[in-house]
Amino acid sequence: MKDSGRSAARMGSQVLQLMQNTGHAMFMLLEAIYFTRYVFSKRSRGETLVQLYITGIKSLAVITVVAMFTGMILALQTGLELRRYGQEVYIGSAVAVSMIREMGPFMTGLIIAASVGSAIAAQIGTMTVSEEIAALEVMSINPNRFLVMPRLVALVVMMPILTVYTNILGIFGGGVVGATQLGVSMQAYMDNATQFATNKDLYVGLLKAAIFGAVIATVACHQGFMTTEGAVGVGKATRRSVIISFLVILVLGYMITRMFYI
Amino acid sequence: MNKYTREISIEIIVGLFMFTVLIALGIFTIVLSSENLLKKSYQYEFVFSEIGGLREGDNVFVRGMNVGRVKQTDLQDENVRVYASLDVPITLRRGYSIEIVSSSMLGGKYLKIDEGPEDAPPLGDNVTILGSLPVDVIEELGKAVTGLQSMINAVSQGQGTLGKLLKDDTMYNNMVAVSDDLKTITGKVKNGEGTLGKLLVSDDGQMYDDTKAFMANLHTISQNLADGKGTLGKLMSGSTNDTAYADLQATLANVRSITASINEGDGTLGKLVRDGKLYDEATSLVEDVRAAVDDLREASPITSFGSVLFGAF
Repeated sequence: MKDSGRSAARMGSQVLQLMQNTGHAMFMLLEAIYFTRYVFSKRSRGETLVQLYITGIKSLAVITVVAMFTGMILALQTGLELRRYGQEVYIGSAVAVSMIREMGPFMTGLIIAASVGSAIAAQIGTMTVSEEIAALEVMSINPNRFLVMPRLVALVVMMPILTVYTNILGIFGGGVVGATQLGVSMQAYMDNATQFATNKDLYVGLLKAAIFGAVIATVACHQGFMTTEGAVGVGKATRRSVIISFLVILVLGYMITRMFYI
Repeated sequence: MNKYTREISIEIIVGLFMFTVLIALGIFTIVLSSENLLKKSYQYEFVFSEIGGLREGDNVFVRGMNVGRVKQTDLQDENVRVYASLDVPITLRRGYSIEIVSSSMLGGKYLKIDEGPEDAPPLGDNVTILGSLPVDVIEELGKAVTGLQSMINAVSQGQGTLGKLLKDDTMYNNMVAVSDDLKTITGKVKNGEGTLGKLLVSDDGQMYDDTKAFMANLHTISQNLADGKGTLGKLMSGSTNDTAYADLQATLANVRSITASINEGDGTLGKLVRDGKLYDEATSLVEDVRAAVDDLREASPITSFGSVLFGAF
């Protein structure tokens, strides 16, 4: 009886902790959004540019490879099925619509969460355990304005741009597989791809990307701020940041698609 | 409550709110199917004997517009009830039709609603709305192909007019013969041979003059008839002053009087026609005559024998 009571108390405590962490993350996000009006200020401009560079340019290599192969796999799998009906010419539309609507923002989000999000969590986590965050507060520098806002802006701005890049490369990769493996000429593939994809697909995809960017920044910064237990804690924060970002991206991705397409 | 505790409390409330929103979103996007909670919808119920694979979530079209979805299908004892949720209200009139139509050759169905003629009276409340039997495109296509195949087989075996046309040389030969005959006829006409040839080709004008004179005569006759000239003309024009007409009228009156007398049974002819007694007497007379003839025929051998026997004396 005592043990079960203790377990219930522990579970309740964990639920409360989860609620508190979520609430803390929301307050942090709202404060960072509020501070975006200082994004072009002298103090924040440099940090924002650095974060834009880290998010956008340093992720290009991995995004290039992932996007190309995502498009190639999509084209190959779809094309092999369509070939059974003699309709492989339609892989252009299948790949383009899949990439623009779903796979582009989703794959970009996962890559950025794994590379940039984990780096942010590790950096802020280290600053937390080494009490640099406390030092900032002592100096009356708001950590949300100094650390969170530039990262939030960088991710929200760069995610849609990187998604467009992913889409282009994915569609191109699909075209290469179509031309070399399925006997669909690049011209026919491109004609078909542009025929079926609509502006709505692109806008919804870009909206998703921007939301995923905000999610990654919020989760990573929050996990960084919540870091305890020194170096071990930094590792845990990094891992949690990636896992939570993946989960939220998946769930939100489904919900946004459902809201816009049914 | 100190500042730290208050902050934690607020954060917990915000977290709780966030999770509530997420759960609501989850219910809205995962559990509820195609429901627009903020929009008014109109529920309709249709009864089909069969729905041919119509499923929940399939579209509903009215005048070519997608206006809703099939919400539920319910199998009952002898029929299937289809519940549809529409974005707009519809008024069904007499002569309406509810059909289940194939979306494409690959599958998929939708509900097509025809509200009925504009001038037809609307259906009353609580009326069961009946749907038509769905048309299976594949099955219909199969039947058409089978029919076409049997037709092709019949034709290839030379059956029927088309088959004979394609397989039997007789028609071809006949057509060639007809063509030759036509060629001969047109050649003769062209050369001015025969009546038609002379009519068309001959330059002497005799045939033309004859035809013209014949037409002139015909014209004169018809003109006379129209003017009421001559007996026939007078009869046709309805003139009452003419003797012939008066005679004819008197004759017809006499005939009418005679037929009336006959019909009433007056006179010998009337009695012959109307009186059954005369018929009976005539029948009796015939029977008597027949009996007398039979007696005579039976007595004939005895008379002959008597004549031979007593003839010597």
